[in-house]
Formats: sequence, C-alpha cells, structure tokens
Amino acid sequence: MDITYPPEAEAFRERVRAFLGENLPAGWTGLGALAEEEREQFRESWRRTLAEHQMLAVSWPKEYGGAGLSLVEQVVLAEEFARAGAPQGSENDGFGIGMLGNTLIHLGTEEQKKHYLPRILSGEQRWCQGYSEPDAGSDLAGIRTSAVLDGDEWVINGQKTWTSSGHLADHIFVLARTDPSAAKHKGITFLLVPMDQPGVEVRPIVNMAGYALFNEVFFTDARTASHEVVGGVNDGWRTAMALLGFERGVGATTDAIRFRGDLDRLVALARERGLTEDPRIRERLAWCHSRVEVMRYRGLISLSRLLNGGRPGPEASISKVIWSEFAQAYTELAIEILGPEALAPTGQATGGLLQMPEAGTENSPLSWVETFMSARAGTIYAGSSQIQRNIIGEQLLGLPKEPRLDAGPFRDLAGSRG
Amino acid sequence: MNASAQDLRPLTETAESILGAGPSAEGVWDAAAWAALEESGLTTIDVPESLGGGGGTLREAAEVVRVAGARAVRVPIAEAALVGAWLLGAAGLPVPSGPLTAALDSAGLTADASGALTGTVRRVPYARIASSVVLLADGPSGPVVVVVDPSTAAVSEGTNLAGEPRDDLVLDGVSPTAAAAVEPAVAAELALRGALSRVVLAAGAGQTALDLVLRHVSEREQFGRPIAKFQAVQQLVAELAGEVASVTLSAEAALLATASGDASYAATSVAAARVVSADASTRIAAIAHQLVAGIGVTREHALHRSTTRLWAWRDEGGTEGFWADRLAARAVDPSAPPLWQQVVGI
Ligand SMILES: Cc1cc2nc3c(=O)[nH]c(=O)nc-3n(C[C@H](O)[C@H](O)[C@H](O)COP(=O)(O)OP(=O)(O)OC[C@H]3O[C@@H](n4cnc5c(N)ncnc54)[C@H](O)[C@@H]3O)c2cc1C
Repeated sequence: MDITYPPEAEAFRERVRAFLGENLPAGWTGLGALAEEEREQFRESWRRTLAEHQMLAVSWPKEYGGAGLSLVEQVVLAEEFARAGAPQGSENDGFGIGMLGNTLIHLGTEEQKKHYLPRILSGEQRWCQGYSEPDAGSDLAGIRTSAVLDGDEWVINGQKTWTSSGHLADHIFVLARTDPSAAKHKGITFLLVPMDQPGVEVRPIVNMAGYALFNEVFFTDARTASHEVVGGVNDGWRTAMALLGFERGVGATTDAIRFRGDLDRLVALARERGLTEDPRIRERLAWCHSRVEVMRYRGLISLSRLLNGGRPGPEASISKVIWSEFAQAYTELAIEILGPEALAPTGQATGGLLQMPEAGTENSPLSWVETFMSARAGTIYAGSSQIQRNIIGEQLLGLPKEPRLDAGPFRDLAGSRG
Repeated sequence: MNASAQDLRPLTETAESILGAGPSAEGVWDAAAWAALEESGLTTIDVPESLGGGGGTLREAAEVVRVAGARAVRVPIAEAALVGAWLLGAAGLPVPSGPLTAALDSAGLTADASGALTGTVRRVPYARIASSVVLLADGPSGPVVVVVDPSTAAVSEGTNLAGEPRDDLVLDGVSPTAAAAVEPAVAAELALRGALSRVVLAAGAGQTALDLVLRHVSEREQFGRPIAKFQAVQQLVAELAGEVASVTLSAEAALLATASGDASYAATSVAAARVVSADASTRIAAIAHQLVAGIGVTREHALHRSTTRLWAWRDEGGTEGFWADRLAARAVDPSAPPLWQQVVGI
C-alpha cells in the first residue's frame, strides 16, 4: 500500500515548509534546545506567528479564523512541524482547539462559534477541561458540581480535580449537574465558564516527579451567563462524549508522527550506548517501530473516517489504548538502554511534561526518566485503559454490558450527596 | 535451615515499631530512624558477637531490611546490614558506630602499598550523610576491605529517581580509617550481596504497593460500587499479588542459598532472584499506578514512595540484563553443576 496525499495537500506542504523556513530561527532544532527561561517566551511569540498565518487550526472554516482546508492538510502540517521540531501551539491549545473548538464546530450555536473560535485561535482565551471530580473519575457521569439558574446566570458550586494546565487557563468547560432529579446521565449540562472571577479558585497539585501540572478547581457561587451552554440544558452528556471523542480520536491522525521523532531519539540513544547489536534491545526496538507503524495505519483509518464527515466514535478507544500503552513500553525500554545511567539520572530535565519532551531536548538520562514517569499517566487520563477496553467490548464488539447500579434519579443513588 | 517465618515475627514487630507505621517523611535522610536502628542493634544483626554484632542470622538481618524497604525509610540499612557489615565481618574488622554505608560496586578503586586509596566509586547510597563507608579496594596483593570517612574524599551528590542520595566518591590518595585483606572470593560475593540487598528491599516495597492497592480498590467507589467489584480490577490485583509473591519467594530462596555457604548455589539463586524481581518490580509499579489512577501519581499520595523505589532498585547492583547474562552463562556452563541441581540447591 503506497499512501499518497492529493496534490493540493502536497502544495500545502510546500507552503508549510516555506513558512517554517521563513519564520523559524536559523539553526532551529526545537524548543528543548533553548534555555528554560527562553522557552516560554519563544512559545508565546511563535504561537502568535502561527495564529497570524492561520497555522493553528487549518481545517477550521475560514469564517471562524481557520484556514478552510481539510484534515489532510492538518496531518501534513503536523508532519512538517515534527520534521522541523516546531511547536504546534501552546499548552492550553489541546483543550481550546483540539477539544472545545472541534466540539463547538459540531455542536455549538452560530453565536458560540463566532464568539469563541476566533478568540481561542488568537490566544485571547486559554481553556482547560473541568470534567473529573474527586468522586467522578472513570464514572464521569457521577459528577456533583451543581449549576442552578439564577435569572440569566448559572450559579456553580462544587469541585473539579486533575485539571491539567488549569493554572495557565482563564476559561474552563465544566460538566455540571443541573437536574439532580433526572437519571445520572440525563441531568448534566456542559457549561463555558470564565475563571477570572471571585468564585473560582485554582490550587495546584504536585505530581510524583515534583512538577505542578494539574490542579484542583473550586467553584463557590461562580457564575456564567445562561446561554453559555453547549448542546442543550440537561443534554450535556452527549456534548461531553463528543468532546471525549475528539480528545481520544483527533490525535490519532498524528500519533505516529509524534512518536516517530521520539523513537528516533531512542534509537540514537541505543546507538550511542553501543547497544544496537544486543538482540534483546533490537527485538524491542523493532517492536516499537512496528507499533508506530500500527499507529500510522490507525491514523489513516481515522483520517478517512473524519474526512467522510464522521466524528471520532468508540473506535477512538483503540487508538487511545495503543498510544498510551506504547508510551509506557518504549520508555521502559529507554530505562533499560540507559542501564546504570538511569540510576542517578543526570543531564537536561524536561521541565515537566504530559507526553513527550520537546524536540531538541538533549538525549539525557534525566529527560528519559521523566518521560518514563509521566508515561504512567497516559493509561489513566482521557479514560483509563480499562474503560477504553470496556468501550471496545461493549460498543464495538457488542459484548454484554456490566450490570448497571445507577438507574433512577441521581439524587437517590447510594453515596450520592448531590 | 534458617529461622522460620514464625521465629521472625518478634523481630519484624520490633523493626516495624522502630520504623513507624507509615512510610518515612520526605527529606534526604531519616536520622532518627537510623539512630533507633543502631541503638537496637538492628544494623549489625548477623555480625559475629566477637566483632560487636548480634551474632544473628542473615535471614534476620534481611528481615529488618525488608521492613525498611516496605516503609521506604531513608536510611542506608540495606547497605549497612547486608553489604557493609558483611564485608567488615569477612575482613575481621569491627563495625564502626554512626551512619554506615557501603558501595555495591567499587570496581576501579585501588589501594597502594601504603594503603592509600585512589579511584572513583559511583553512586554510593547516602555517602553524604554517612560517617563510614565500607569499600572493597584492589590492593597490591589482592582485595582489601577498607573503611573510609567520606569527609576525606570528594563527594559529588546525586539522587536516584526516588530521591535517595546516590553520591559519587572521588578518592585521591585517601587513607582509610581501617583496612584488612580478604580472600579473592569476597569480590564475587560482594556483587551477590549487593544484588541480594535490592531483592530484599523490593520484596518490602512490593508488599507495600500491594497493601496500598488493596486498601484503595476496596475503598474507592465508581459506578456505585467499590472498584474491587470489577473483574478487570480483580485480575490486575491478582496479577499484582502474584508478582509480589514471586519477588518475596525469590528473595527467600536467594537468602537461603546465600546462607548455605554453597557459592555456586548462591550465585544461581541470587542471579535468578534479581531477574525475577526486576521484571516484577516494573509490573508491580505499573499495575499499582493503573489501579490507584489519578490520586496515585500525586506527590501527596504514598504510592510513589514505593513505586519510584521499585524502579530505582530494580537495576542497582547490576542491571537486569547483567544478571540475566550471568544466569544464562551458568545455565549453559558445562563445568557447572546441572541446572536442576543449581536451582534446587542439592
Ligand atoms: C496526568 C493527568 C491529567 C489529567 N487531566 C485532566 C483534565 O485536564 N481534566 C479532567 O477533567 N480530568 C483530568 N484527568 C483525570 C482523569 O480523567 C481521571 O484520572 C480518569 O478518568 C480516571 O479517574 P480516577 O483517577 O478517579 O480513577 P478511578 O476511576 O478511581 O479508577 C481507578 C481504577 O479502577 C479502574 N476502573 C474504574 N471503573 C472501572 C470499570 N467499570 N471497569 C474496569 N475498571 C474500572 C480504572 O481503570 C482504574 O484502574 C487527568 C488525570 C491525570 C492522571
């Protein structure tokens, strides 16, 4: 099978290359090669450049600030940016563009699209994801944060947790319970909430590697306008699931590209350590390579589905399991390749990361040890591997469902205080 | 035969009461825990009484180390009790008082005719806080056990991924505070001792990870029931328990073999235990994090104290690959006893 992109996508590739050639500093190898204090500054100014050139969400319609191209161009862009080691956006863009923006395009009102999409792209608004709560992790529909209408405003009370990049955000999309007398999945509303108000408090949580990347977010009579609802009052579960589809699925088109570069780093590490003749290491490197190829094929399947107008559905769970479990296996291999060097790791740190280190990061023992640790979380967030397998079993294979214990009004459920 | 599990119980309880109920607090090292261990004679259990030790068994010494591993205590007890004290005993040297540590591997360290020591010893646990470091140097006529005051060497600080001190010691003509020649066989045994100490620690840390998981899955409710009710969770817990059992058993077997005095049996058992425990450590940490999920990757939760140690200890004292090669070499060595005999120790 030889995969070729349509000529207009190849023409776009030339445009992207020209753009990168003109706009990246000379000799650029990646953000990781910059001194830590310079990184944020570069990231900010680079993001502005991307916004000015419509390079942040090329598949979004032009009227909302996109480039009006297709997802094929989005993938081409990812390939070229990866090749050049250029960042594709800032930390909150995964939430603002990848999740919320894509969801608004499908389920938002015209006013919401016109209002929010350009602001997300310009960087005026930075978003984070207010789904999980202390008592609602895998069982997301168990959320208790409440929202009650008071005139033309929702009044929100409760707590979210594990809110990644919440300390950098000024807006949060919140799943809130708006009808406790309805069944668990029925009384939930998806709200858009400004964080810069007295009723919202963000407290950092430090992870085991010592970085503060996620947060608790507390709502005490926080407010948002009554129209800041995506997908209908009490119909937020559908919106929540559509967004999760994007969280799990849209990345699938570019997973292989993300991991390819990092796998090259790992092969270089093995080569530097003189281990490319070791049959154990060779076998596992070969396994890694084949997994990245599997991701590439999965990416093409997702891409053709999305191009045909579909939204990522339950099949996104397959991609999610594959990349997150791959990330653990290949960082374990990195630790093995490092051997004694992983025992008191030295060299450049990653500065804290959710996934892979920035391009240009030194191939240091410490960067690998940190990546290894952060890879633990990949099979937990965006739905754990167990939950993904439940979805695959129940929704793709039609296997019997786990018996439900949560029928009836939410407020009557055992243990529910809401 | 060593002391049976029954006989160990009072010692286990003593160690547990000294080391406290939960994992020890954050910080570089736990001076109070060390002082209590030393005062109770738990740092020198199997050192002969003539050298100021307790005259106990290796299994007893290891029990204290296992408890320290379970509690994630920040003291060099594994190095002191299973490596340093043993080296000193082999050399007929008394155990100095104060925080004691030992290098699991001091290859490259040489002693000249005057006894002066030169070389770099990598990743010595807690070297920066120890008053004495026990090392094995290459002397003019064979190996020499030496005791060094780390303040006479250059200490370059490092940490493992659990934050435990692993410091490089650079010795440039340092005079040891004590020294005695030993048999050449001690060098090979040192590697086994270092590896053994990691297996025993891992058995403790693995058990703690299992305990934390068991408590979590029965208390944590999702979908209206404790997550322990889900078969996917039960299977992971069962696999985790199996892995912990294999580390524990391989540690017991390696301790028995080491105590037997049969060098070949010990070499096979320790190598096998290191391979088993390294594999199991990775799996234990992975499953435990999967099951404790979000809260388990936070600094605040206790789980990382055990899992980061499992990751750190799995390759100390020789990586898994190193020990797997050793084991394979023994298995196919035509001059060694047949493998089955090596495995069962007859
Ligand atoms: C690094 C990181 C970043 C995150 N970022 C965000 C964020 O930005 N916004 C946000 O809203 N959330 C975020 N999360 C939260 C994440 O979505 C939750 O951690 C996840 O949904 C799991 O919930 P939990 O941690 O409560 O685990 P639990 O739901 O308590 O699960 C514990 C274990 O039980 C298993 N389990 C639970 N139910 C079942 C079942 N029915 N069948 C089989 N097994 C089951 C799980 O697989 C897991 O192994 C983040 C989490 C992490 C670790």
